[in-house]
Amino acid sequence: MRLPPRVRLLGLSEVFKRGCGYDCIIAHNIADLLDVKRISDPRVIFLHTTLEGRAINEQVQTPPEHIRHNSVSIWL
Amino acid sequence: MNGGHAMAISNLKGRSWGMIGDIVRNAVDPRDYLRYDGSEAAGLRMASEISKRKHILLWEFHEQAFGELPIRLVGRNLDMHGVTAARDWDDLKHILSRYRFFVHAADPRFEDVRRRVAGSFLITFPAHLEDPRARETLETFHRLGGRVVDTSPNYGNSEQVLGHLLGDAGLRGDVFMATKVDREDAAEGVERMEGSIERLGPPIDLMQVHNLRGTDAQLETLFAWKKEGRVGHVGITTHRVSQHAEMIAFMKKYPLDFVQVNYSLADRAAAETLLPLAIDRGIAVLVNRPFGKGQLFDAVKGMVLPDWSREINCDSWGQLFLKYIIAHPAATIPIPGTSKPHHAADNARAMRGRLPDKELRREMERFMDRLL
Repeated sequence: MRLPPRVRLLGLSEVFKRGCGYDCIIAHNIADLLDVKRISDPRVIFLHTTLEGRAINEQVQTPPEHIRHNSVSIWL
Repeated sequence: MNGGHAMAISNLKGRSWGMIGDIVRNAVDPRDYLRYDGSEAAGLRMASEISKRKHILLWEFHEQAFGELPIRLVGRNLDMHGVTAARDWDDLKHILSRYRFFVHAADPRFEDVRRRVAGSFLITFPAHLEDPRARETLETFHRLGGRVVDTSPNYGNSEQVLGHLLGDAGLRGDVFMATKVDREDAAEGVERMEGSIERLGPPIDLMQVHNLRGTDAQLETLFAWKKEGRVGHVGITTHRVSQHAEMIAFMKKYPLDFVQVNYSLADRAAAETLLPLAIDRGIAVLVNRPFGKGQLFDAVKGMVLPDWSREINCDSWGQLFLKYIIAHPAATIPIPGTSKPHHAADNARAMRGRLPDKELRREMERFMDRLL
C-alpha cells in the first residue's frame, strides 16, 4: 500500500516505546482500541458497523434495542 | 484506559447506536474518481475478512445469485487464495472504473448502500422486515384481489419479509404461496425447502425447482412431499429461452402441476411449443418477466396508449402488457415483481375488464414489433 505524503507506518512495539505524545489516536474497531489502552493520548473510535450488524456478526443474544436504550458499554 | 470519543461514519450507523451527533459526513468528491469505462466483462465485489462476516455480507446469497457470473473479489482475505486488496487508492479507483457492475458487499439493512458506490452500476436487494412500503405494496396487492405470491430463498430476505408481513397482516392463509428450491443435491434441497417453510410458514402451495437446478433429484423429493401434503403443487422454472427445450423434456417426463417461464410481448418464444404443451398436459403456467425485463416500458416511453387499448379497458401500458399474457389460452398467471404500491394497484387493474381476443393479440404483437 502506498502511503499518503507525510504518513509513515509504525509497529505497535515502536508506538509503546515512544509511549505518548500523539495528538489523536484513531481506532477503527475495538481490537485497535484495546491495543492502545496503555497510552493515555486522546482517542477516537469510528463505528463502521451498525449495532444490529455487529450483534449478528458477534452472535450476541441481547436485543440491539435493549443495548441501544440501556448501556452500550455492557457489550462494547 | 482513559476516556475516548466515538464517532459513527454515517447517519444510519449513528442512529443504530443511538448517537445524535458525532457523525462523519460523507465527503466523497466524484471528481476524484476515474470515469467509468466498463472494460472488464465482469462484476466487482469488495470485502475484507469475509470468513468472519459471512452473514452480514450476505455471502451465501451472493454466491447463489452471482454463481454463474464472472465476479472479481477484492479485499484483504488471507484465507482466500488469489484474493488480494487493492494496492493503493489509485489502484482502487482504477479497479472501480473498469468493472461492468458492482455487487454491494453487505446486507443493506446494515449499510448505507447509496453511499458505497462510486460511478458504477449497483446491484443490491433491499428489504426490511418493517419496510412500510413493502407492507403497503403487499396489502394493496391483496386488497385489489392479488392472491399468488411467488418468491425464492434466492431473493435476499424476501421469504423472511413475506412471512413476517403476511403473518402480521393476517393474510398468510389467504394467499397462494409459491417458492423455489435451488440445489443440485437432494439432501441440500430438503434443507433448503425446510428453511423456506420455516420462513414463510405453512402451507407452501407450490414448490418449484428453480432454473432446472437438480431437477430430477428435487422432483423425487417434491412428489413424495406432495403425497404427504407437505407441499400443495409441484413445478419447475426458468427465465431463459435457452432452457425451454430442457423444460419441455421435463414437462413430458413428469406429472407437473406448474411451470414458470419467461413470456411477454417482447419475448414470445414460449408460445411456440412450451405453452401449447402446457395446455395439452393440463399444466398451469406462471409467467415471469412479463414486461420483458423493462424492455417493453422502454419501447413505449413517452407514447400515448393506442386507441384499441380502450377496447380492452386498459388505461396504462402495464395493464396492456399483462392482459396480453392473461389472454393466452394456457392457464397463465403473470407475476410482475413490484416494490411500489401504485404499481401493485396498476397491475391489479389488469385482472379486470375485457381481454384481447386472438386478433387483437396479433395486433398488439405487430404494434410492439415495430417499436422493439
